Amino acid sequence: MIRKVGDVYRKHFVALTIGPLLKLIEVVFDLLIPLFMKAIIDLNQYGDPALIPNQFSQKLGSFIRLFGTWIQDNQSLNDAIIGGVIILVMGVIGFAFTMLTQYIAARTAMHVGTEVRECLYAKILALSKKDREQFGSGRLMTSLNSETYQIQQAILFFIRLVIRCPAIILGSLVFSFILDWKIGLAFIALVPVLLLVIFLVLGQSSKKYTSIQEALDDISTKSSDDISGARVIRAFNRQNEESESFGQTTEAYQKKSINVHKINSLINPFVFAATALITLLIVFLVRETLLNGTDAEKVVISSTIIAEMAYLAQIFFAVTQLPPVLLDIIKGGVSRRRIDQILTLTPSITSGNKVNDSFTDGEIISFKDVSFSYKENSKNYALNNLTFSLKKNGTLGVIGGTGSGKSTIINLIERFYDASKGEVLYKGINIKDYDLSILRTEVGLINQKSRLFKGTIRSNFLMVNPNATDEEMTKALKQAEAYEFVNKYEDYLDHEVNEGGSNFSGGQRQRLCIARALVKKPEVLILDDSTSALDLLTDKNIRKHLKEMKDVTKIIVSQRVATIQEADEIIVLDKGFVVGQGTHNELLKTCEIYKEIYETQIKKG
Amino acid sequence: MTSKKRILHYLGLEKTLLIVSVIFGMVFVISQMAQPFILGHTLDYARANNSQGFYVTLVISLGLSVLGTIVDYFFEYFVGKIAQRSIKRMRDDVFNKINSIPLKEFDARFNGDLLQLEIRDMENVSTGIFAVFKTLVQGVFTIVITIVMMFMVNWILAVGVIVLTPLSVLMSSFIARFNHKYFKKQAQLQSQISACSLETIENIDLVQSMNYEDKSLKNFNSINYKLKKEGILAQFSASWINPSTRLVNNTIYILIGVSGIIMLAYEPKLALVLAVMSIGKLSSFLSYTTQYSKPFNEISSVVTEFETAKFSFSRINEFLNADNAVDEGKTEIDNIESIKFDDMSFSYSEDRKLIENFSLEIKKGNKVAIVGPTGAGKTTLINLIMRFYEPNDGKILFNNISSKDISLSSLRKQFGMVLQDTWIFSGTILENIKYAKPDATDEEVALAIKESHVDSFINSLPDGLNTVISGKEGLSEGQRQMISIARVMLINPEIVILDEATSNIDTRSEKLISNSFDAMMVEKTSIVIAHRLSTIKTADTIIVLKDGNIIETGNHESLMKKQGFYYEMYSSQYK
Repeated sequence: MIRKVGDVYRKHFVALTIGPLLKLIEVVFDLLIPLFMKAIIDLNQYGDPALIPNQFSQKLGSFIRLFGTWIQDNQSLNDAIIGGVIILVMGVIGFAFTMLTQYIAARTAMHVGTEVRECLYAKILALSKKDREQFGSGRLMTSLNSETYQIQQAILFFIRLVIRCPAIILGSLVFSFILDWKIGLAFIALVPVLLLVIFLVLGQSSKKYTSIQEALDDISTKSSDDISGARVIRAFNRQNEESESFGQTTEAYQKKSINVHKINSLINPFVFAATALITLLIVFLVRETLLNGTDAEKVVISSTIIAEMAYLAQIFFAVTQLPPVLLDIIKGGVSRRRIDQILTLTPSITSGNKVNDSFTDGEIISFKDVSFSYKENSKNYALNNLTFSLKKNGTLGVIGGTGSGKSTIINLIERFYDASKGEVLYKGINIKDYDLSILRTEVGLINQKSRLFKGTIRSNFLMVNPNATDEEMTKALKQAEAYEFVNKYEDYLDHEVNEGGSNFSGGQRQRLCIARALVKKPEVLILDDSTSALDLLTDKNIRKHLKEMKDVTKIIVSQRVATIQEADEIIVLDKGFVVGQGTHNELLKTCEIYKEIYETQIKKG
Repeated sequence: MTSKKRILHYLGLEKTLLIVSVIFGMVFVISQMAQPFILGHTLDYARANNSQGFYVTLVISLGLSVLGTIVDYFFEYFVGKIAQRSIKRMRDDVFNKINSIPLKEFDARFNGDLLQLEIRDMENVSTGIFAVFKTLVQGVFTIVITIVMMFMVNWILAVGVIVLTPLSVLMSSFIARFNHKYFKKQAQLQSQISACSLETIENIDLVQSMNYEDKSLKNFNSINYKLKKEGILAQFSASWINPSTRLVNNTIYILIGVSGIIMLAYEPKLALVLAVMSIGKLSSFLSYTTQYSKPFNEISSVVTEFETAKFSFSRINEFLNADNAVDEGKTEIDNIESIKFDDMSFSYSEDRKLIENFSLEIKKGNKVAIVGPTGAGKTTLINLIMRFYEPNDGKILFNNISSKDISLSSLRKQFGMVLQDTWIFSGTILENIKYAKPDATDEEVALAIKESHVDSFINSLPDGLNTVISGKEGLSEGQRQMISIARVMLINPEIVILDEATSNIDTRSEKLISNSFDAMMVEKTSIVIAHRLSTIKTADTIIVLKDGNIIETGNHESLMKKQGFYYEMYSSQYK
């Protein structure tokens, strides 16, 4: 079970270790090439490996001679060509191993990225409304897209370069030590200082990356607000103000980025300065020998300094290559922490494991003294002390003003939220203990906001009931009064649905959503003000069809008395309180508010 | 504009910084490359027992190091600054473009795709500018200086190196070109992933209530796994560049070395004809060869970043190049006396006719209601009046001036519009209400809040008007509609358009809001679309639309008398 990003890493432990190690082979060959070159030159000078003063050169020279003499009349030419071929072969072998690492890197990075994305997506789906509100949808989008990508990049660079750079540094240190142990020691002292400074700088900047990421979130939120509000912004002529405020958002991001950059820019100059000063220091330290030593001493010390310079350059190169790699890895770390915040959040609503298969008749949904507040520990309830029970195949009507708590009832039945006080029972079992997926399969909800998914009409229907036949879909379309316009499409059920259903009018969308809920064949059907965009004729017809469906329990939330007046029980809500409960006729006698609503609607009519 | 031109345009805006950083880059490279050269001299002075020269060169070297360090810092800092500032400009430009393209084009795009443009693509370009610019400036100077040095040592080998080394760049750009298609595929899948996750996150309640989580995950994964496959190909093919370059460079190094050794072997005979060779020269030449190939390595190591940035930038450029087809008129308009549709036809797509030969005049001071079954074209008329869309045929006239001749902003200034799909942006409720009139006084706000009935729920919220809400979370539909209404009431416009603006508001509040509007709109024009016919009973003219045609017109009484379509719709309300 994967619960954190680290678990995904652990799963790929082998690739994450073997990958970088394979790269070592190339590094070793890379470091050997100059020594082979030196051996060829030495062979050329001394003619016999045994005569070469340097031990390494001697051994490499003998190695070259092992391959025999092919060009009889010119030993030097022979050595040069054989030596060249050996180096070339080493290069090719090194290359092959490197490509293997590169493949492992690409594969592992994409595997990790894909798996993290999958876990995160699944987790987001498992979170309750309340949980998600902690993060906001902008953040969820960033995590799912940019941050998983960041992790992917981090893995890629980790495998490709994280061993290569230190190995080159280490190799160069070893060889410099062999050449002159004093200078070698100085280098060994230098490297930790270099790395310490680099890490200090990166530590500083990594702190700021979180705030940069937040600034990027702001840009993302602002952009998506603007994209969704395109019409309103144009209608109010607010383009200039919009771009001004977006400009401020990007300005903030720019400032933060440049500030971090101010710190990051220290690394390369520092490495340069350190290298230059170390060189000068070495020369300054050996100035006695250089200025006053014998000729032989001077030659030896000079050639040593030149060689050490070459290794210093290697270290220099590797050390400067390291920061961008580390930076990517650090960014990956920040992303990892942010993703983990989501992954480790325990969903506040989890599925119970009870079901009631034997339920055939009786109270299908009951509320027992239920209160609910959207804020934890707040006494400011959106819904207060609601008690009711609904018999199977019965109809419950809920009416009330805007913000009266109507939708809260639905949120509790769908278990988007759990009650703060009291309990909700489904088929006689506390809804918290009921199997969530079975509950949601059995309950069909038609929302206020009619949303369709990109695809086709058919694919939208199949989403709720994968086994639905064409006949069933046609029936649902007819019941939802959508058949008439859908039938006009040549491709009928396969007619395309654009993102958000934008190619349908509001009323068409609502009817398709009703049809979709009917395709599901739910035991309980909830209509949350779901005919608001329909003309009254259509609305009436749909109501008639619904009434004909006898084996469905219905909960109808509406502001129109006409829609709910035939319900078995009607709950009248006002500002979160139950102000009336009973049948239409009872309420007309007992509930002032209900009477008032009824009369305004009738009188107006 | 081509991508190249546009990027130069953005960089050109930072000309001063650009020139300064190029100079700094050059100074840094010189001070860096001079170090071994000066050191050579230091050693020579030492060998010649010239202690004065020895110390002088040491001091020069120290001075150059300090200079190089300072200059390098500012070089890096400036390059980063250029990248960040250019990206800010690009982001703002794309944002403004989003606000200025015709809605027709806007509606045809995926929202997720536009978001991708603003976030991921911009980040790619910013990384690209920084890496490429930095590497290129330093690289080019390093190459030039090394070439000079190499010629000074041995011209034959120098020619050899110069001819051979670009092979690595050729090779990497060959690989890069080969990669392009994989990257393109990868980018497509990435944008599919982001569109898919956006759709889910925005509709997550629905997904959960439909019990669709497992299948939604499956869907997501079908793209996700494709991305994995293509991603591996893209990353792997890109990763050939670096090692291949190194292989080519090492091979060149060996070839040069071996040729040098061969030249050494024939030295006495060759020297007269060609060039002088010695061990010392060979070893310094070889070190120059390494130095020379280094920038090529670095350049090819940023080729991937460059390719990604190039691809992202071409997407940005393509979007910025899209036609701003709304050609604004110049005429300023004020006090609209009449809105006239003159034999106008419109359809969203060519194969489906919607409104044909439509004529209608709306006079100032009237309350006009448009009713009819869904899909009749009611909202489309609003889209046309507001010039979100253009008629295919015929004209729309304001005060007898064709809409095409009128300045868009002066036209829209006359209107206040509330749509069925409310729009709430992330911010406080107060900010949302004051959106169209940020300088409104507290009294004006208080009045708008009262009239729109926002005050009915505002007190139950923890922070009242300062409660932070966002586009996707919090508040019910009805509450959102009230906020949108308050927004329009605050600006008190000449013409009000209400398109199902109260569809989710309870009837009691709706009635009161509608009364407020009627009081506010005396002598002014209102255009109302509503299914609840009670709200439109007071309209001066009711237009009954069906399938894009006017089938009945009149006021409530006359239409009821007629006992036609309107009568049928109306009477169904309470049955």
